[in-house]
Amino acid sequence: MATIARRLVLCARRCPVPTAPRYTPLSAIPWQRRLSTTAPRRDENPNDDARDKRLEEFTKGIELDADTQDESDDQGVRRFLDALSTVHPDALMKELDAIPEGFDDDAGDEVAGVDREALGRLYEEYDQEALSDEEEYNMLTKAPEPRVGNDFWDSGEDEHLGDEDYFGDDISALGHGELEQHRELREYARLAAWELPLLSKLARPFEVPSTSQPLRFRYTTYLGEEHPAAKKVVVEFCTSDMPGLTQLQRDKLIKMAGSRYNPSTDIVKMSCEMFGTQAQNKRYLRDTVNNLVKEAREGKDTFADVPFDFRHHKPKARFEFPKEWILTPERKKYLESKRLHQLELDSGLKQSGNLLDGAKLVERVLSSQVQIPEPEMVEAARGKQRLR
Amino acid sequence: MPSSVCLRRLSLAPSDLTAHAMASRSLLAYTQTASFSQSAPLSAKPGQGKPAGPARGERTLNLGKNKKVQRDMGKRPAPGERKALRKRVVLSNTNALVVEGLNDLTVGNIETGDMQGQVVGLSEPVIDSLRAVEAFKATQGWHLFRRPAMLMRRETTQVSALMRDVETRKKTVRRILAGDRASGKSTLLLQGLAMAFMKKWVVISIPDAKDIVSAHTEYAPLPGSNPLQYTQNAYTANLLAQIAKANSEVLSKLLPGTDLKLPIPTNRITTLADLAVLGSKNPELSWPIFNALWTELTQPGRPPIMLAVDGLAHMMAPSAYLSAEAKPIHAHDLVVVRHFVDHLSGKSALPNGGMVLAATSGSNQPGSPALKFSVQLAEARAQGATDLPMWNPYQLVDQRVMEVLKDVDTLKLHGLDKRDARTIMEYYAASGMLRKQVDEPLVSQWWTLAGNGNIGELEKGSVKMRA
Repeated sequence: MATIARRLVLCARRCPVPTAPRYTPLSAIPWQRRLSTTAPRRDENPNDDARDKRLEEFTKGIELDADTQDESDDQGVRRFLDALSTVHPDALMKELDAIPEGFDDDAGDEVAGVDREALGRLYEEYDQEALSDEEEYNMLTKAPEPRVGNDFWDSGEDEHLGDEDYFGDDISALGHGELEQHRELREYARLAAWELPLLSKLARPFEVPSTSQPLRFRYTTYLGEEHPAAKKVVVEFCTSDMPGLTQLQRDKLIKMAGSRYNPSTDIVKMSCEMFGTQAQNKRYLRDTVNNLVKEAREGKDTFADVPFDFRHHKPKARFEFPKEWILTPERKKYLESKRLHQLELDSGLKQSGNLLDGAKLVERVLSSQVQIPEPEMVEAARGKQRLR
Repeated sequence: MPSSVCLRRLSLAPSDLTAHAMASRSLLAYTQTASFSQSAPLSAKPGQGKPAGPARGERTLNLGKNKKVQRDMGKRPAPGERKALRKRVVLSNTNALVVEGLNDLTVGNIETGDMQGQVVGLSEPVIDSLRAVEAFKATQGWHLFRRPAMLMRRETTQVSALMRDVETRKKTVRRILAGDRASGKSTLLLQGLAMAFMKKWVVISIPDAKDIVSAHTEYAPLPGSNPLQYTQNAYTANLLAQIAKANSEVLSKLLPGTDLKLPIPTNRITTLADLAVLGSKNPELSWPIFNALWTELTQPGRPPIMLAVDGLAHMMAPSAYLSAEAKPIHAHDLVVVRHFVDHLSGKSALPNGGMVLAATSGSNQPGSPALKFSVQLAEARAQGATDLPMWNPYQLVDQRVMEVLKDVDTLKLHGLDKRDARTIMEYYAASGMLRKQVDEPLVSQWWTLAGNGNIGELEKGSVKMRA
């Protein structure tokens, strides 16, 4: 039988839900920690109304949680029987006699003076379209069936988004991921604090490679992460460091290295990442270098007729301030004296009137020339044939 | 291209088509449609096309809005007139002042070297000879001054020293004049020519190599040459005329000493000047006559020869001429160029001594990487560099040019020093073209602005660009 408030809830639940929820809840109430399962202790005074009310509230709370009620019923009965066995039968009988004759639910209503007929009519009105208790329970506890169809309500929805492993009794997978990350970070923090300082014990001083170690390998680690370039190995060597090569053999080695050779630094650099592991790549590089050197030493063709091809390399132009341009104190002094000397020469020329001045020269020449009178312009005779 | 048979079919009458036993299905289909015309086709008469517009000066019916559009009825310049104007060389400016105390260049002061660092004038006969060989360029600043004068710079003294060397030891000096743009390469060449004229050398000058290779003059394969070479009769005839005119004083005193072996009567030829004139008047024989003249000039006892060319880069590339296979002819396959290049490379020596001067051009220069590289190489060699530049072996190079310029030395022109700059600026001022007081600050300023005394820039800045 549904109350008015519950019917409101049911009405809301009847609305179509466009998608299935991420999990199917087993009860309408979200999961919560269980309340204490210790048996309630009854008050000594059997006629205490306050005690009855408290008991009623308690049981109501139990009722709300259907699962827990079912599970704790057996235990509760057993404890009740245990408690009964400790009580004397005579005392129990006394208690039962103390209960008044007409003590039941209906009698309580009569005492309160409620019009039972009016109440019955009200209930009947609701019962006309009411659901049975079982149906109502199902509606409240079970999730509505996800809509299956392709109508307006389903447009633009992805139908298969549910997490199959999630049953609503746990935090989500995302939350677990967050926690896992946090644990990992803390683990590394512990390592950094406790383990890293110990690494200094393993440190070895740098030793300059000897002449018997001309190859320099380079590996790359991505600190435990998987990376496609982690298997790559690079080797560098200086051609003049390769032992036992004559100049001709060295030139041949350079020509064979092709664009891997850097003429500015005299270093050949080659890399390999075609095999699955670092060790394989390194082995391949080592073999290649050995073959190159062997071919340079023993090959019949010396490549002496092939010119070096350094088209792949563009040397970087470096410009340096010319030493001659640096204004040293001596040079400043020299320039100063030179300018002073020139000025003295110029002033000497000026005093003697030998300093050439183009403007004055032109004026003088023009003034010395005989002035030719400006020709008078006469208007040409007007006629048919005008000048154009 | 449509088959001519098809087109002919269109002109046939349908009755004719049916008469054809071999008519194909498509042609039979054609007979069912009406032909558009049965008249015989007539092609348009040649030269009957509609002209693009009325001939100039012709009155036409004009119904348009702008009835008063006046056509320009003025006289058009005659053929070659505009080019003559463009190429005109003016050597005098009557508005410029006469420079007092300007001495002429003479054989005497060339020998003593007194004139270094001074501006000297040129005497009239030398100017005429230089004009004849087109040594003056229209782009040079001769038109700004009263009469041609030039600065005897350090490089001029070097050339005169080389000439003295030639005269004493009868050796052949070969030089490429190289330097920045407007650094005075052509002027130095002119100075060399002027000194050669004064010293009574025989001067043969190609004023601009572009004219030989630009395919503006006729050419013909030289019979019996292997590999095939080409003569340029008109050009050679013109060259002979220039030689005859410029060197008339020298050549008129030289008598032919050998059998000339020419296919025309040579009875009236008394001097080598006559021979050159004969060649200039018979272009078809110009090349044999040039050869005969050259043979005469290289006989013992003849004067030294000055061979000069300007714009060398044009000679060091394939020319614009095409061979019979429509391939570009290399400039070295033209006989005149080959003659010059053989002497520049040292393949042929001048038995009486002489000088081969080739000036590069900074402004009119086709790309010639081999020439550029050879000049760089020669400069490095002259500086005594240990690591000489090397040609990139993976780049294509004109091997003939590299071979020719293998061991030619260069004469590099640098900027003027400040004393020379002051001298030339005082000359500008004395000519009334620089109306300023020529003192050290002004000279320093212009010297710097002219890129450390580049003489062309100095002239441009102080005289030509004058406000």
